[in-house]
Amino acid sequence: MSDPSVKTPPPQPLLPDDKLADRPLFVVLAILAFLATLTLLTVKLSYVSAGSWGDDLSRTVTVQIIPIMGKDTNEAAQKARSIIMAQSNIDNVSIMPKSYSEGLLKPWLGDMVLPNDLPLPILLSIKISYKKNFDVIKVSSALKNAGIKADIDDHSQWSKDLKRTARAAQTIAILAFILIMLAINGAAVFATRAAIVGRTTLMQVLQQVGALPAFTAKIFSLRCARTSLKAGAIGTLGAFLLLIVLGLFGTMPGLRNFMPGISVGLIDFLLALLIPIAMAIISAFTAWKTVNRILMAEMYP
Amino acid sequence: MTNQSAPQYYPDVTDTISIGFDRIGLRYGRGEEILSDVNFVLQKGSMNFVTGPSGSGKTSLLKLIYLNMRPSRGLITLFGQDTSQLEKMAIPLIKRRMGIVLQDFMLIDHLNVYENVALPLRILGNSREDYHEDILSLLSWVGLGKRQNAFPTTLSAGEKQRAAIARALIVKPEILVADEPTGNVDKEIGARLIRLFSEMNRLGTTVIIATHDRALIPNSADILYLQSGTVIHKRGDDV
Repeated sequence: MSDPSVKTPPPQPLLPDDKLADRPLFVVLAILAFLATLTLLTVKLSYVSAGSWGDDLSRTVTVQIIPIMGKDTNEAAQKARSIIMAQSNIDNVSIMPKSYSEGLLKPWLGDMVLPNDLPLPILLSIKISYKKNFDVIKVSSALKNAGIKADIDDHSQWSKDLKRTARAAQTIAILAFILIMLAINGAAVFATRAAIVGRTTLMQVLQQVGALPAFTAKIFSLRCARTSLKAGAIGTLGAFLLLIVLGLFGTMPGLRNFMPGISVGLIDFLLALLIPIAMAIISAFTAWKTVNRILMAEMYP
Repeated sequence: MTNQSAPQYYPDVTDTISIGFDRIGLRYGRGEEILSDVNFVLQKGSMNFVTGPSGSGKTSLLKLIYLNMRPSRGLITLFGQDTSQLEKMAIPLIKRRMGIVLQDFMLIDHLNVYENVALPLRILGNSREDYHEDILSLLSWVGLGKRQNAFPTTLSAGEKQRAAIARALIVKPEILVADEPTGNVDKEIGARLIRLFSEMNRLGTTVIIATHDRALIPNSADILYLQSGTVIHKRGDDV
């Protein structure tokens, strides 16, 4: 009978972790997760930023009151302000000081002192109510009828250019993200095949004792999922920490002009967590499919 | 063992027959047939030895029995089922009714003796509580009671062989296939292992053992003698 002095050990995993053999793959997966997180959060931040810039642009309109010989431009600006304020959907109209117009000439004229009688246009900055339209033709016509020569810029072209640029950047980032996820898939296939090669005896014995392919596939699948989840979590966390640090540098006075304005929060963190989870699911599925296919091909050949 | 001339099918005797080979031929690739027109029937609960000169195809014959490969031609029946008609998913279920002991033991190095022996039960989803006592008893029976925590790399050849045998026996197989089970052990242990197989046979298991050592074959055993790729049936005392 059994020897009571010998203690029965706890159950051992059929496919234990092999840290030494798994390390290269672990590092590759962590790097891929790092890149995937950066790409994903860049796409998200670019969406938010482009949307915010677009909203800001579409909520402001600039009116340039052009000087007319013999007429007081300041008076024309005041009159134009009253006409515009009378329109619907207008939050606020500000007459920009003369120094603002002079400042716009600086890139061309430098710091030279401008003569007092130089006819400079006066700029009006109009703030439109949130998500309301500004009728350029109507305002333009009203100003013309009042004898005011004005040029109205509702920033629509600029806004369109901005959206087009943002969309191009987002498309590239999404493509990069898809490529990274495909690379993760490839790494999972490679890892599974490597694990199978390293565990040939286990596979043969499991087949010999009548294990169903699904049983063996599940063991390899869970192992690959666990490796991917761990590596993915490390890579994602690393990328998230990097973005936090970059965000902090971006707020420092001396570095503000050199660093991008990055701000990541809880939502971004939760979004980033999807990457290791997606990696684990991809790895598990790929491993399951690979092992199952090999076993079915080898079964009673 | 029954010496029959090329039986076509066994519909009326399937409950008494474990294994049937009908005009089996086997070749690897495009080479010559290494087994040719092999015909035999092994009765349920029989004790059989496969013997013959080295390279005569003993291992290949066993591989055909435990469904490790398909014959190039002919019909194999296992438990009354035509194996060529089996669905792939049915193969593992057939294998669960068999215990297999191979020449190279096929123990898993990262599992200790206990876990290696428990493997066939783990894949069935049995709980540890259900099989714990059975494993301890079996390990004790094969003389490995104190080696249950040892890993295969620390075992002697004889111990490995006994662990592999214990793993094959733990499922109480209907058919036990052993390929040179005494090849790596001394005569004393070899004789002890044969007694162990005989005991299993006494309990109703059909036993097929391939060996080149005729001294181990009991006089009462049935023998499949392989020569020139075919089976010459003989009783043990005729060889």
